[in-house]
Amino acid sequence: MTKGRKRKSGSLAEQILDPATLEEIALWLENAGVASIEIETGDGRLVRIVAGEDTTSHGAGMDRLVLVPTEPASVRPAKAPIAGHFLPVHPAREAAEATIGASVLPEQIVGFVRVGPLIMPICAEEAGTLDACTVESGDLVGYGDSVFLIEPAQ
Amino acid sequence: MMSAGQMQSQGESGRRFDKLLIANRGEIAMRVQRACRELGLRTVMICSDADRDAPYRKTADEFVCIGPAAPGQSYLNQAAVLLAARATGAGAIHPGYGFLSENAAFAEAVARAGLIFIGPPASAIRTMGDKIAAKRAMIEAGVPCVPGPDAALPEDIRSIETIADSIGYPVIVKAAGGGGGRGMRVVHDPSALSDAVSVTREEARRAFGRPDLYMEKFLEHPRHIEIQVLCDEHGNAVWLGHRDCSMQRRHQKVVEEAPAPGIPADIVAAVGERSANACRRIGYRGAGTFEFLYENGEFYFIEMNTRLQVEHPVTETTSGIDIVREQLRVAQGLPLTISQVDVAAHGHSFECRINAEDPFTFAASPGRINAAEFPGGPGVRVDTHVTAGYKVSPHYDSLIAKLIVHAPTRDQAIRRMRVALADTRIDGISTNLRLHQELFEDPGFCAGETDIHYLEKWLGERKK
Repeated sequence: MTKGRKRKSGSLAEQILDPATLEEIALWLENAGVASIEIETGDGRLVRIVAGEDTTSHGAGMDRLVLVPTEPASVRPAKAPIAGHFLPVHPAREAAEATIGASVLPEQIVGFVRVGPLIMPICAEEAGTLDACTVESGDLVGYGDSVFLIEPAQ
Repeated sequence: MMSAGQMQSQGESGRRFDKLLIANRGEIAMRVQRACRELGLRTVMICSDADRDAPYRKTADEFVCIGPAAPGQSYLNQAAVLLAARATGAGAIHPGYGFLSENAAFAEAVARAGLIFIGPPASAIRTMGDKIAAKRAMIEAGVPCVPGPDAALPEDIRSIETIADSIGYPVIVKAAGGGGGRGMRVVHDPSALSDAVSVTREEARRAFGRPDLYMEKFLEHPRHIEIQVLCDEHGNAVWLGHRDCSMQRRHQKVVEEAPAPGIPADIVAAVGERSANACRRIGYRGAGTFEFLYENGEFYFIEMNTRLQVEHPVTETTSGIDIVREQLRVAQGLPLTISQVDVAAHGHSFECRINAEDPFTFAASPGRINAAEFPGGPGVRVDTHVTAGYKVSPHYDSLIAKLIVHAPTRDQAIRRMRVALADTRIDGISTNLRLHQELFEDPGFCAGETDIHYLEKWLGERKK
């Protein structure tokens, strides 16, 4: 990028769309031999910057920009915190912490992972509706595996 | 012939374990998995978030993520590894190399959990991890060591000066808890001794948690020679030949070969037998490597690696012995399948470590591999976990493949390696393939018997 050129201030999306930033990113891609890069912004949009055919043109960053508008993710996972076996219901309780279709709050327990005597909760990361459970009771799940899908509250 | 299923059912009634967790990643995870499958053992492969798409997940019986990409939260996380073993019902853990493979506390924790650690007893790991205790044990077993006392240096600088004078300059000051080239300083004259001791002691305290130092004669042009050993719990210990690992950059091996060229067989045999004897004395179990410096026809013990090593294939190809298979059998309580009279070195073998790094700057080159082609043919072996589409993670060691060749003579093995390197193609990232290609055309390297400084010097000349 041209030295001293000012960048826009504002949201991440606005900053990425700034020509100076685009040019700089395009240069990084060229130097690293990377064909494209995708950046997901906070509002759910996906910006894809693709290295162009003409690598000699100055300020080519704008030519290489491909904006891919996407909807915000419709569902969010609730993930296993540890490797172990999935339990929908705590062994000491009779009812599940949450059932499919129920509303859940951030940090609310929605299930468990069991390793021997150790029982770790699976928590919702944000408020919404418990949409689906992707595993069966007793299944082996790994750290970070998606166990529930939650439709975020509007 | 017995099928895998038959072996499995037989094993379930008599074996110590039928399912093994492989606490590692990359090529060595795949190597261990293959040996397990041949023996009819079920495998649990663990991964970090960064390795969820590892190719060996397809051939694992179970594949489970245990933590984030950072090694400290996954492959080095003892609790996570042990919990994964518990969750999957694994009866044993193979640590591979690196990560937890030489961690005595982990070996103890595995045993406390009622599992089998594929490696030596924790006591042996601890002894060999303490360089002073290791040297003392080797002296007692008659293994030749570098001149210098088998005790920690005193605090008093006058006493340290006296020790250095008695050894004779140059000397090297080393951290007792160090290794891998870290925590050591060469001192060429008495005026530099005090500062070297102070700095190394502080470095040892910070890096290894203990300030103990020891001192040895510094050998100026040694070669790095290794003796591979295998031991069982029935008092049997054999040595499988020797390797030359002198081609190093910053204490990291780049090319290894077996046998080490130009060393008289009777000298090697004497050291090999003493190494095996040392294993019997300390109650060693499994695979291990004695590392020596070799100069002017003499061997000098420097350390013992209490694990499988990256370069084990060159010994496998020359000895015809599957070291990982033997490790697994020994862990089952079985005796070694070979005795010393059965061991012989046939032909010559080289291994090139293919790293995802720039061949000139050696900067790591993580990224997606767009195309990968590996060589084949007689006497060619490739140990790798990568294929086209694989993403090399920036979180781990840059080793992506090991090219191993075997031929009747060293010259033939060199020619075979040249062809193997020419037939290797990895696109999308930078690799050190070109470095290997240039090295295998270098007259000095091809003549053999180069010392541990040769590659650094060669690289310096290459830049000019």
